[in-house]
Amino acid sequence: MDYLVSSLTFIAIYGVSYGMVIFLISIGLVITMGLMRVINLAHGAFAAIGGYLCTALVSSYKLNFYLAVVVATLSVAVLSLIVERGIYRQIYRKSELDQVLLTIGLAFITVASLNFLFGPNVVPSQLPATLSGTVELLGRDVQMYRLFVVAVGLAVVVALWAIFNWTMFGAGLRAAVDNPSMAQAAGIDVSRLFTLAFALGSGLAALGGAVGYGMLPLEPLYPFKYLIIIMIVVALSGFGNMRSAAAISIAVGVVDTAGRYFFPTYGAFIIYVFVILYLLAQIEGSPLRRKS
Amino acid sequence: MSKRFRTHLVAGALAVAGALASLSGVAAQTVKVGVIGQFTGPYALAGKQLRESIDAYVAQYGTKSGSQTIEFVYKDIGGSNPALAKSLAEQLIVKDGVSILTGFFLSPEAAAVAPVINETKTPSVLSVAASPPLLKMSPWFVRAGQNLWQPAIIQADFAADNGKKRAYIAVADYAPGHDVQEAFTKRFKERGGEIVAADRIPLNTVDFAAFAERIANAKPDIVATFLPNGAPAIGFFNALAARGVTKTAMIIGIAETDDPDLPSYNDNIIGVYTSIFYAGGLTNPENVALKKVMAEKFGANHAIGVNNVSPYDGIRLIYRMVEVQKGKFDPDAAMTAVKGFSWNSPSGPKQIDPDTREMIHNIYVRQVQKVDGKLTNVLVKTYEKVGVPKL
Repeated sequence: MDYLVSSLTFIAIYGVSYGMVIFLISIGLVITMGLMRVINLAHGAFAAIGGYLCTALVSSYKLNFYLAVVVATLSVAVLSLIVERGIYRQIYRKSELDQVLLTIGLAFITVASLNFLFGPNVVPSQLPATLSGTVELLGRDVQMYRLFVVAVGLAVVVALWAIFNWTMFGAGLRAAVDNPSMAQAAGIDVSRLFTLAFALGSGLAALGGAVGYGMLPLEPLYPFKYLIIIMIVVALSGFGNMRSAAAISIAVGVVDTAGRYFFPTYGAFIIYVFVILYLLAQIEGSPLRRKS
Repeated sequence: MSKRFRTHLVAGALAVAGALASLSGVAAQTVKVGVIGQFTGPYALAGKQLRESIDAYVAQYGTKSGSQTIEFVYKDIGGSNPALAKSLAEQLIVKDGVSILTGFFLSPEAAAVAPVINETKTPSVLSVAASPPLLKMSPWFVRAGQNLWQPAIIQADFAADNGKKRAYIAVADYAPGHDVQEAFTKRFKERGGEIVAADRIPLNTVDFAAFAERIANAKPDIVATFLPNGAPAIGFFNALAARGVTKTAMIIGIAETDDPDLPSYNDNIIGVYTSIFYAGGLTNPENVALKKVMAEKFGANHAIGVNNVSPYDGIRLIYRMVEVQKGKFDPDAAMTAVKGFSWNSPSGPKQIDPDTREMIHNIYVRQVQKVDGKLTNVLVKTYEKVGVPKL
């Protein structure tokens, strides 16, 4: 009994915090893919740049960790504005193959640049002492960092929900996801909306890379290493659906953690079983499908 | 002087010059050594270390061994690619005319090359590849590094020597991990210990918290690990520390905290042990000299890793193979020269077992400690002249 309770609390806390990081780095792609139907395979690169920038600020410039997270997030958002205007704009109307080739090329460039600038090794974690400590929760020691990640994730979910539902920007975004030409016809500047949404998504990815690197260590191959899990979330949550992206991310985090915990050797496959079952349920027209 | 005499003189001089030239032609014979290395791709760090070691050895001892000159021919394998290793070996032997091969970072590369060198009788020095059955695949292989059973057995011995009874094995789910699990399990049981559980961790694992949780729940007093260097090892040790396992149990790995990797760790790695054939802090004259030449060539901050040291020993073996050559390269003489050969390496006294061609050498248990504000592998215990046991 004790074993069961401690197992369940472990899976709840660690699975949810892992899911929150996955949510942060993939929500941007869920939004932009919903809006622009562009398969941005370089999305993970923004998360990697955010993480690298944050650690560099902490280790080289002795910046406060929380401040470094904010600076990294904003810098990547600004960088992505430039990249969107300069590069992505060209491919919106091109074929999927062109989009995939260009974005995967960008990811390769990022990997090579990170390798060149920071070396091939993993970047040491720069968590502040307060986050490395543990607190007693549900009868067990939990690392403060995990709770911090959950808090950041929840704050982002609430903020996004508010933006989507209560602001003109959110209303325009929802309209443009559903029907871009109609939204354009109704006087919404869809192109400007794209740019803002792209910057928002990239900034959130950078935030995920920066706060998540206690779980997803930073290395040059980061943009590819976590692409699969990002793609799983995007595929399962449907175009631009923020709420289901949050639910799916947490489900993925919990299923993955539980799988590894109960079946260590084969646990890595459990997540794919989950994906297959979930997609099968959708094909058969289960209620899950109507959500998106 | 008659015209005739002068002609004779010139002819004689020419003959002498010709004889000298042909003599020096014998003396200046060159032995080519093919180096199959990971110079690009995911294991590029190991390829860089291989090249550094060759450069350092040449800087120290020159390119001549005995009467012959050694020339290195480099080929890049760029990732895990046994088929390419085989075709590179064929190219090197047939086209470039190399007499000796070295390199071989991953064991499958060496396994793929075995049939080629069996046919061409090419002595091949395994600079890093550590898979136990490799040497049975070709009589032309000789190991410059360790057989993976050696550090695994010392992990078990060190744990038992420190009175540990309940071991948890956590290895990466790939062939080297399985080798370590097998050797550790056998030896630790022989020494009266109990294996509480053994986890094979998938190589694509990102969040290691679940494994740390399993280990913590099993309450072992020693955790034996073997994971690839870099992201997996760092993620795993961070998770163990976060769960408090580093405080409650002895953690002993193999190469995870190698000197070049140490700066990537946090202070929570302090206390972790590793068992391997080199320790940067060794004070023997060979290690002091190697450190000096490495610092001169690659900067004062260069940290010598185990993947520097065993390739360096491999070059020592190659120079030994060439030293005994007279005229045309004789592969049998080369192999005879290294079987039973012993010398002092930066990693301590070395001997090639004449029967198995495995290395008989010291295995060092090191502990990560903070010395002068820097994470350092501190030598804790030396197990001398460890050979390869029969499992």
